[in-house]
Amino acid sequence: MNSTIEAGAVAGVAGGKYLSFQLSREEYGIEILAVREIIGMVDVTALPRTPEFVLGVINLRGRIIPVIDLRRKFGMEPKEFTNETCIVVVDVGKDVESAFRVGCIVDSVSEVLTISADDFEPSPRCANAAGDYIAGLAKLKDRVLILLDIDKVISDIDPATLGVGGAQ
Amino acid sequence: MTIAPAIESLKQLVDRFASGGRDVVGALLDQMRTVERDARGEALEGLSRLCRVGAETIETLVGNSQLESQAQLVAGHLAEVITFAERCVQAVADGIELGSVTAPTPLLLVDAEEERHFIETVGLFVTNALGTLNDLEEDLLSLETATDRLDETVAAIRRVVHTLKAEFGVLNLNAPQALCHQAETTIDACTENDAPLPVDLLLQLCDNLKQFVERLAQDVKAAFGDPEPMLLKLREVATAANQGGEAAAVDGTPIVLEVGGEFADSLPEFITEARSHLADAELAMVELSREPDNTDNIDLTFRAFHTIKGVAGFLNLTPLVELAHVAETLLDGARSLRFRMDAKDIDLVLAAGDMITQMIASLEGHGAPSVGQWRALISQLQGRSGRSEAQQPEASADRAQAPEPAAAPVPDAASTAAVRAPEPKAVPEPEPEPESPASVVRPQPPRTKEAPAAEAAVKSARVERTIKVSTTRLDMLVDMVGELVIAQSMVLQDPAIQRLDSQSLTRNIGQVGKITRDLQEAAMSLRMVTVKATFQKMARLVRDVAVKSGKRVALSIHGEDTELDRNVVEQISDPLVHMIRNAIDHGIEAPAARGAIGKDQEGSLSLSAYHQGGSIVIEIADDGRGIDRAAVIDKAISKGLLPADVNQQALTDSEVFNMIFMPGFSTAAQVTDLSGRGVGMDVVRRNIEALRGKIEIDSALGKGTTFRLRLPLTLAIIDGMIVRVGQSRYVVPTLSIEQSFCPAAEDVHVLVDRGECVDVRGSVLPIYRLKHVFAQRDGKEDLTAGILIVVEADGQRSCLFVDEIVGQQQVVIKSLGMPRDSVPGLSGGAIMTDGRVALILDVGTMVESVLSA
Repeated sequence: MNSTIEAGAVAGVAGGKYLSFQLSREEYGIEILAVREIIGMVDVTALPRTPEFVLGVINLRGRIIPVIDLRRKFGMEPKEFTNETCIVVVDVGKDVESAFRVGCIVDSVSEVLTISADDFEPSPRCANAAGDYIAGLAKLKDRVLILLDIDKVISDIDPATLGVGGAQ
Repeated sequence: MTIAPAIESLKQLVDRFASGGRDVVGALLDQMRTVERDARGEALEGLSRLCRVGAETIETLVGNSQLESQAQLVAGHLAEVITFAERCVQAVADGIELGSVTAPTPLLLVDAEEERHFIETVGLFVTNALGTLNDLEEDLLSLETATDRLDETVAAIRRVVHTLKAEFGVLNLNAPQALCHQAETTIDACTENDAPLPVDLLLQLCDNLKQFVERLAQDVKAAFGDPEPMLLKLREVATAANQGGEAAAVDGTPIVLEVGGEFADSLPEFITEARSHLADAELAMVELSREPDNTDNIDLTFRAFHTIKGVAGFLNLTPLVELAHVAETLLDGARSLRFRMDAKDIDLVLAAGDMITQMIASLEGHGAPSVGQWRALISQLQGRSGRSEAQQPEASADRAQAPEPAAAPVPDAASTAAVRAPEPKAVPEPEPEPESPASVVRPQPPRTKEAPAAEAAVKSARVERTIKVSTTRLDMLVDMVGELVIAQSMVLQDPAIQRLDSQSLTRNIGQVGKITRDLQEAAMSLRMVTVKATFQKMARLVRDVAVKSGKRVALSIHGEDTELDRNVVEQISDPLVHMIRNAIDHGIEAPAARGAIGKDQEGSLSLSAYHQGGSIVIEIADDGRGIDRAAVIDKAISKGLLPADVNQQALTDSEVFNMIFMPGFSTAAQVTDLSGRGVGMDVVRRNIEALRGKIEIDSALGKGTTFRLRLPLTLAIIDGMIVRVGQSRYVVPTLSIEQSFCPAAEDVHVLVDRGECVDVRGSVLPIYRLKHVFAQRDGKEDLTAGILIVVEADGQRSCLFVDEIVGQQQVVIKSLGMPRDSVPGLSGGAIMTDGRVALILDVGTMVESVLSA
């Protein structure tokens, strides 16, 4: 998985399978190799003193993992959870020490797409807050898929880098 | 040496091969065959065999077109062979014993199955060897302190070294094998000449081997460093010892074994079988030395010698038969319980096995033991079995195997003398050449296969019934059992189940619950190990530090069989090292100083482990100078850790002593001023707290200091109080809780800009509202409507305000899955019976984070 992602990050292109999901009005893609599983919404225990986009932790079959709300992360309007709301469980981190598992809450998941390297466009340089997290765009027949660099999305989850928050 | 030119031209071919020349392969193979023949002519069996096996392997590789992919390996091996060959030639020229030249591992094609088997064997070996090496270290250390039973200890040491040699041999680890061989020779030389053992050197060897074995655990292909320097030192000691003593005169003529009789054709089978029996017997003897009451081992060894004797008889190998017979007689004595095998007996039987091994090797052209050695060993064996027969002479009457005249000796003065005199060379060793012990009939040495299999079979038959399980599997099991417990209670508390009114269902669910709990307990106990190994390591440390600092320290160890979670045991080692080093370096005074104040010159240090109230206590107590309370306070004031006008009397001892754990106290210069405590003490505290343990200090100035580490039995489970704040649940470790109460309005005081306090039995404690600490939106505001929990961490007491206490429960601690697990104030999460996650509070870091915010 790592080598594939890295190859993509360096060249800006990596053909392969992507999981596409809906967030607000846009469609996003995560490389399928990073995705462990997709589960429905479950009870989330709020985790204090973590960045706001960290919704909390859940029990994933006996293992506790943090979940993040991608809407909050990208500064979008919050939305009520529905039956369609899913947690996409991904493995992030480039090496063993920093690797960990995290759930990403998305509005709904769509499909797994095979994208060839020719369909890629490098991410446009724009002053969007989410710009850093975008690995590139994939032009499909009738739409554009925003490909996320999930490692970068998660990179500031570590509370130690934020200082202690939340205490009065 | 006529072989030197052949080696030289082989070397050139190898060089060309290594630099990519593949046209030389044919010539290379031819030359290897030449060297093989020449080496055999020069009696360089090891080299000859290496060339043969190597050439065969290369041919196979060429046949499979795999040579290119393995070229680097082949070239590397050939370079080793050349080096080995040159050393052999040099050794012959210098007249050095060939056995001391370390041979490289033969080049073999190992298929996947064999390799997996090999790796498993290594795994098994590593665990055993580490234990054995620890025993060895302990024995060596006890040599320095013990006054009586020195002989037994030396014998034990020799035996352990011998076992190690054999075990390294089984794995084809030639360098460490050669080292053990030399160590054994050196020990023998020392005992024969009444010279003291070179304890330091042997400890060094022990360290080397340990490091190697540990590396081996990481990587089965790990290579031993250059054994030569250590070999040289060991050899020097042996030579010095031999020169010091008088070389006993022995008959140096080699024993001549001639195969005869009508079954002479079966010699190869005999050799293979005998080696296998001897390997079994050797292991059995080593086992016996560990558990002397297990007569199965004696039986097995007896049968081994008996079989060898029988077959050797058919082959007319008379000297071998005689030796096997006396060994058998000795074993038979023990077998019929006329006497117990002691360490000396075991040594002798091992020596007999070694000599038979050597005799068998001589059938293949190796050097035979000398007649003198053989005779000496036989008379020693007879002497030992004679001992018992002298004690209970009637027992010999009903021996079915009626002893031959030679085997029923009377230990008269002459024979006792004979037993003693030739002892020097009484324990010959097989040459540590890369010969397989199980077979030489085939070029593929079965070491990697048959010998470990035999070992495994022997082990499973007799070792107490244990199996070794990888820790990942074990952890997985414990995790799954944890999940089972949760799932079980989820079922139990499911409203649909609770609505059902059925006695049998209730009974069955109760039964499942009981089994689940038992299962959890059993799974947890799998991870428990004794602190013995850790304590043994400390014994070594005490010795080293004491020697370095010029102090005399007697270490006493108690409760080493106390069991702790494996993870805890692993993590207390470092803190213990710090504390023991401190205790000796700074706590215990120099001998002269101790004498001057009327203490015993030898300081005493005790290391104990015991259970106390659901936790394990590890205690390190010294009788040194103790901690100077006033000096600590002065230092704390000068460091700004205490205000200058602090009321010294008001500080409790524990508050003062705890200062030494402050990072500011941790440099040597300050510590020495301060009756010297505290090097790395902050590290110690950090480590212990990471284990959710506590440190307590007792100290009396001039009398000594006691450190008590209070540790949880296991890291996986804590006893927790479940509290609720609004919709959220938290787990407060019961260990940190002192009491809980509903505050009366008049006890609560609001200090301007300092927050809230409450008066608890005369002491005013700060109140932390969990709701605020964790920025929760829901939860009670009114203090009198909720509950205050008095908690203690780092010697500081404070109160937590929560809505209510839900109950007390043991919970399995899980990581929160955050990177670096670093949420301040929380130590993890627990999955509650409803499958949701509750957060576990870490009171210490929580208070700290609030104060620093």
